[in-house]
Amino acid sequence: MSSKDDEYDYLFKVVLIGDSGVGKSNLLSRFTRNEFNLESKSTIGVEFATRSIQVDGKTIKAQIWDTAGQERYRAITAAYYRGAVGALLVYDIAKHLTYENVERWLRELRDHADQNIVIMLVGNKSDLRHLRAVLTEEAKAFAERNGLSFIETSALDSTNVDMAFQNILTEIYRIVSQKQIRDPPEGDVIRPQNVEPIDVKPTMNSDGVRKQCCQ
Amino acid sequence: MVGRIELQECLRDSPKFRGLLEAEEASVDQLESKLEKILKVCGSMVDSGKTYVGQQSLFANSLWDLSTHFKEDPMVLSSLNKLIHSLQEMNKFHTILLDQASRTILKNLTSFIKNDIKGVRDYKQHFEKISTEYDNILLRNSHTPRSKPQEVEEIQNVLVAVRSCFGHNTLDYINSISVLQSKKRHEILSTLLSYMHACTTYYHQGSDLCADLETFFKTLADEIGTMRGETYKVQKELENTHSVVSNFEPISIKKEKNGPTMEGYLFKRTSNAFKTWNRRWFYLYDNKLVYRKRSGEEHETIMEDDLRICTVKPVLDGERRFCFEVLSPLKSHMLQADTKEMYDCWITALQKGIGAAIQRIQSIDFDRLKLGDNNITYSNDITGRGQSRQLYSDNNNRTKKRMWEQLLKIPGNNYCCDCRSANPRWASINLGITLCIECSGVHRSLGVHYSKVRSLTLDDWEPEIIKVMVELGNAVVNKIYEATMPDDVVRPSEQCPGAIRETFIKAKYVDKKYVKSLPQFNKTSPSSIRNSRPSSLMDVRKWSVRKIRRRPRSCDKRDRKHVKVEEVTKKIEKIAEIGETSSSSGREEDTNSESSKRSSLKKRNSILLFGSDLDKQPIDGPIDLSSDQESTGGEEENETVGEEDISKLQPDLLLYKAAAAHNLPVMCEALALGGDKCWINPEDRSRSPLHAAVFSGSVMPCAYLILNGVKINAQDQDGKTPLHIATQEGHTAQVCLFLKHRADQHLEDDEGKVPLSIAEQKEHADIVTLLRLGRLNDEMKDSEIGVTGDDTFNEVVRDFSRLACSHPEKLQRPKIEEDRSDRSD
Repeated sequence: MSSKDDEYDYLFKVVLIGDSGVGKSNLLSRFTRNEFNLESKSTIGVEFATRSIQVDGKTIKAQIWDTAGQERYRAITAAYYRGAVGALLVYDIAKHLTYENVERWLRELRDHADQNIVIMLVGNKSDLRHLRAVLTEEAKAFAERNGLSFIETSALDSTNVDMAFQNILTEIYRIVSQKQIRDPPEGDVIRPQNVEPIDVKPTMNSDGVRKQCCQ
Repeated sequence: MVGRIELQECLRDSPKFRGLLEAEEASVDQLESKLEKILKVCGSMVDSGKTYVGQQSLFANSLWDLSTHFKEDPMVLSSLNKLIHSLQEMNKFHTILLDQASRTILKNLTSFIKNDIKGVRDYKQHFEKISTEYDNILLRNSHTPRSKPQEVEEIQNVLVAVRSCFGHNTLDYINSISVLQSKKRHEILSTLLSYMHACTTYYHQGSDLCADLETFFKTLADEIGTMRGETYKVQKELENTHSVVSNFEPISIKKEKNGPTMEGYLFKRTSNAFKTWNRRWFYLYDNKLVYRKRSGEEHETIMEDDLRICTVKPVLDGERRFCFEVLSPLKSHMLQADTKEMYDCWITALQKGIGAAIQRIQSIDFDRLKLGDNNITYSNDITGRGQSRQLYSDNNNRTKKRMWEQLLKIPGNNYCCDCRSANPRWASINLGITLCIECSGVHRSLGVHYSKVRSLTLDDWEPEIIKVMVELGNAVVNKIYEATMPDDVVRPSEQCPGAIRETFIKAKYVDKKYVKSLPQFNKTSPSSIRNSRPSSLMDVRKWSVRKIRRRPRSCDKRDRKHVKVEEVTKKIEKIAEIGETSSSSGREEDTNSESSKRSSLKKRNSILLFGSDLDKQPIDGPIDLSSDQESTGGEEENETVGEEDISKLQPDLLLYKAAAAHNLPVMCEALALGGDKCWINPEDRSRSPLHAAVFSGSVMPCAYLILNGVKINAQDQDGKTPLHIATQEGHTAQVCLFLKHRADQHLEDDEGKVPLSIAEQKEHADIVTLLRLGRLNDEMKDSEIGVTGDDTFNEVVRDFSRLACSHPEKLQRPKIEEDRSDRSD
């Protein structure tokens, strides 16, 4: 995965959430580095990775935040969701409890994330057929009721991993590009289209990382 | 005939007697079964009665519970209580009735069955036994042959005896039956009568109670009528309020002294990729444009914190109607009103607000000049604006007043540190002083390695710089930089020529002419020192620095001392007085006349203690200046750092030790004395003062050293940078500070570890997140185009750092707290 990520048309922040041990970090490593680790440790705080994909000839860079599922490893939760436009809500198809907790995670998204955030329900570990505890149909029906898209993946054998990310990023892209057509940015005639306002923080901005001069 | 059966018949044991007996026995059996039925039914009646009474008492309790609902309404409350009380009284009567029922009916009838009927049964048994025996004897008698006269005589004797016995037993039996039949008549009636008496009492009590309550009921009924009337009236009145809806102006402008304040809902467009429009409650307050959610979150968000640098612009070419844009030099916010009227009002209000903001700052300055003292509070600012006062109490923990007003309260800070002109508007953040505009100009010309100048009114202030300012202040700093200033030095004044100002400031800060050098021990000959110092000083063998935090913690507020500036600024304490070592408390103070100018004596074990006389400043109010935050919680007030031999007393080590004690005034003195901020302590793993500051657990010595240009990435003998150590110690706020100042997190220590791997090992989620965020930010920065990513990063880091500075307890994990308490022990 040594693609040059330097240039892109869109940057989307996507968060991976779900109970501890459902395979979020392995989904991320499979997608961004094509790696899988059977004995990976619990994530502490947040891990980040990026990967760019092509949609409609545009380069979309996904900045993926892999959060800790375990309560004691979670730092300030609100920070995780700030600016996120997509969320992969992962459960383990072989552990029914992780599926039951999906409701709790949805509540957390409602409390902290943008109301338009695109959510995809991901049933991971689909390779564990003989241990299946959550029926595909049941999860699919749940996803439909809650307006989520749905997919089953296996980070272990790579099934649907790229597809999951591809789908959610495409969905976000469609929404964002349509929005841009509907409301022209800033309504400011002077500014060219499709350019974000450059947010240069004032010198006093309390926490901006500032280069120090003359020292 | 007394008995029920004729005696003759009994004794003859005739068929008629047997027939009558059977009839009597049947009657007794019937009586018994009927009485038992009564007992059963009565028992269950009493039981269900008790259940009822129990439920009724629960009912009364639930009514009591209801009455607490009316605790604000004494009228309803008293009536309700009286009604409940009556109900409970009635309940009590009912309980008594049930008790009586079980006492009379159950007890009497049971005893009737147990004693009387059972007695009859006993006689019956005897009768049947003797009857059988009698029959046997008669049979034997009939068998006895004539030929045996002896047997005949014998059996005839027996027969006579048994017959007589039979006769007696029969009579006993018959009599018991007769007595029973006679007794049942009055027993049953009297039982019922006493139960009816109980009932009568019950109803009497009830009727008496009700008679007593009658007047109360009447008045209550009247009151209820009145209340009903009131409700009707209220209902009528409220029906009329609907007319307000059509006349309602959804715009509220409060015309007040300090300019228009506007509040209401607007849609705002989010800055993320979705451009979602959210409806938020916006208001103008304290030169700021602020909004909050309708519900859910208490706090508000500051959209623009200085309206003076903003403009408002209508947006006419968008898809949406009634849009306008608030532009500051660096940001733009798209807002949308509900109607044309609202839109006009908001634009007008914002424009006026901007104008008023500019004017108000000036007028407050004017007030301040007129009053000319440091007791100006923000009350000036707040009176006449009820809205903002409420906000202030709502958001007690947030910075709601301009920083300069707070900073000017630090002792000495309301006059320029150099020329003493009033109302300084500038500051030197690395020196921790306030300056007038002229002096600040000279400071600027010195270069940032001497003085970093910032505006108190125009710049924003990071929390850690404010902390540094609060620890120092003009009074403290001048006691160091003007300690030995002769009276004849020409001090600049407000209107003096530039050259005088320049000469003075250069002498003060660059040449450090008036800084008092450290006392010399064991280096010069005793005789030369005797002239200037008390001889006892020669016996001082050790020195140390007191840990200090001059800002009040919230827990200190109650007993905070209002100390005069002069007292605060006594600088060094010299300890002497040998032979007094026995006084264990060592806390008494004594003024030594010979060193009275700047020192006081403490009877302690010959230890020179730096910074022990700095008392808490009388700073009130501003929450962000007080701190119960800092990771140094749990520290004793008078703790010191490890003592050093007096021969090692030199500025470099003094700076090092003062950093370890997070004692900024002593650090300032050490720097003034030429202490090298990049010095490494060969006796402490080659650590720099910044390492020592990290170990103190506090952010402020780190911030102070960084402001004064230390090397942030200095490695100690183990290859550890301050960032390594802050990570290892779990000091989140320090990690945040270092990352903000671009500390290199890729440096490895001698074990080949970078800070991130230490944080992972320590399982410190916040520090791991911060370090990884830092890496992500670097990665995003490398790619030229992406600006959107940085936005998120900065916001998240700001959240973190704000939280780490103001509410570090939220970042503390149980495990880390343990670590902390271990260390502070």
